[in-house]
Amino acid sequence: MPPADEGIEARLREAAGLPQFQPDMVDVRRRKERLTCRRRRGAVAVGVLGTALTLGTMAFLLIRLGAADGIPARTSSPASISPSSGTGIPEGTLLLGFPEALHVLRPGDEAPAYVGEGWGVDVSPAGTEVLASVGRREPTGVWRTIALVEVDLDSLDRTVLVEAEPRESLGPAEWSSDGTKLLYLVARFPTDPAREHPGPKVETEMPCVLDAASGATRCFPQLGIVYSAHWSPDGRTLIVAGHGRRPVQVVDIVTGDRRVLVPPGGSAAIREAIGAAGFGVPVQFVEPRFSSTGRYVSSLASVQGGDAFHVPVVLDSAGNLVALGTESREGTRVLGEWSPTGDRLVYTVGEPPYSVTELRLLDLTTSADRILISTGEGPRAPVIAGAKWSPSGRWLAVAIQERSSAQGFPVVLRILDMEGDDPPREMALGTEMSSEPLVAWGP
Amino acid sequence: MPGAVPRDGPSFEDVYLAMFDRVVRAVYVVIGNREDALDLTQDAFARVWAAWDRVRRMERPDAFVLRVAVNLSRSHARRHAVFGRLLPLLMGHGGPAPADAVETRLDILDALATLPHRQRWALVLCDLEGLTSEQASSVLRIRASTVRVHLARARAAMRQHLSETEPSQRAGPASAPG
Repeated sequence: MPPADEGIEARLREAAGLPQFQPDMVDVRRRKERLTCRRRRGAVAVGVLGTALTLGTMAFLLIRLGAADGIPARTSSPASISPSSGTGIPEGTLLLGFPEALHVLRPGDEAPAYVGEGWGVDVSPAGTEVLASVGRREPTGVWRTIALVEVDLDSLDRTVLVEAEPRESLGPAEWSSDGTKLLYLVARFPTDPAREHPGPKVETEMPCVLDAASGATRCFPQLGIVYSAHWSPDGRTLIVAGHGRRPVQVVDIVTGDRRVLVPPGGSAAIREAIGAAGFGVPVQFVEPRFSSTGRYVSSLASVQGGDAFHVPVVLDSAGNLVALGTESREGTRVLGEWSPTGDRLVYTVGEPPYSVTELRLLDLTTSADRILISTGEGPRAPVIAGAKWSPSGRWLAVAIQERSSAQGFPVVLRILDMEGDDPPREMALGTEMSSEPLVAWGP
Repeated sequence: MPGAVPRDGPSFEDVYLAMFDRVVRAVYVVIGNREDALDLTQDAFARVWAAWDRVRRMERPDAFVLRVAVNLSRSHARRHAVFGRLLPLLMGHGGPAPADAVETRLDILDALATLPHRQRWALVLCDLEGLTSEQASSVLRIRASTVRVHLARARAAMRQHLSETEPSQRAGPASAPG
């Protein structure tokens, strides 16, 4: 090799080191899904062309032979969505997760229906609208969610409910149970991401509540940086959590009063129970959520010092430990979904690497913790990618994702009858789904 | 991102996070535009991910990633044959930078922009990435001896370009011809 020129090398390094770049796994996934979709559409187009030529030739020959009784017409589904093998969902409106495209399933639908652009966020309590987020990539490469939009499922009219300021990005959102208020998280960057990359940290991330009737908004910056916020069933309080050094708190949305439900690291009883089970020491309580009746709170306790990654915990509304679920050694996909009756919790359990293959049901009426679905073991077993209860609580929708990269990552929707004896229904949802295939199941 | 990647060797996410910075900076130096570099790098990784079942079994997945980036940058260069040379000058090569660093960046990237595509990549892979000519040959899919030829020519052209442009740029616009 020719001798290096140190001056050129140094200046190359200097030039290469100037701009800031941030990896963005979500963006790569989206691009990969689009690429896979384009390739498959190409393959489908070639297949359709070949089939058409073959059928045309056959028809021509049959006509020539005087025996053309007609060839049955075929209507193809969109390339991204495979036709249903069952009879669709039994009730309500199931909002599905596709990148920047809103799709819903309703009874009788044989394939998801496209209802507009955006990322699915929630179904309104009336089931007549869906909530979507809309974002854009700034010139600095930062993805910013700039608006929350309500889409009427009949007219497909869109109404902007919340718009972010230039230095803000909107986070997860959900309707209160009566549909009068909207809870959302808003993150504020230290710089305007359109002009300067803000770096990895946000200045604040806080919950805000929009009153739909008056348009008034109240935010809660006093809570510090909040990672998750959810409504209580009566719509009067929020349950919020942030970094492990901060407690899980319940906040009154009118007075702003707050009470600690779980202190940092957990109460003595929680630490003792988790330690006695051999799971280690809890360091953070992730995504605390009230049960549908408000009697219980579920959360994932991230643990250190043991073999587990995290353990589902169920507390009562005063923060006392009620039950521990089965530990997971891998980050799960279903953090804990309460049944509408408020006494059954489904969650996933996995083994590294990425083998989240077990869906479990913790029944607080019987204290039984049992497997609902197991897709097998090992790196090839399909992954449980999502689960949502139907509005009546009779059905459970489960998203099961194959791990065959040759065909993308196809997702199958399986509907389980949790109270009756109906056999499971299945529907192929394609390979283009986002990392959260099931967003919400409303009435 | 559990569940997304079948595993035997490293996961795609591991490779992406480990290589992102190297690839995006190499591409940035070759094409001279920050936004396009980021866009092209993300596209390159998306293609690698789409073929991950095959790529993860390769002895050097990193070389494959770089090769995809090289191919995409070649397509980019074809599309932007004219604007690629004008835009960096007009737009200051994309993103903001400290004022005292701008001159160096313009010099070196302008000099690179005058080189043929393969010479540019040979220089970036060997002098920025620290690859040997044998390793660069597997990325560029040319013989190692050809890499060495490209590299020598690129360095000579760079030295000449920089020696010609530096005095006038340091003197400032007042002394520029015209």
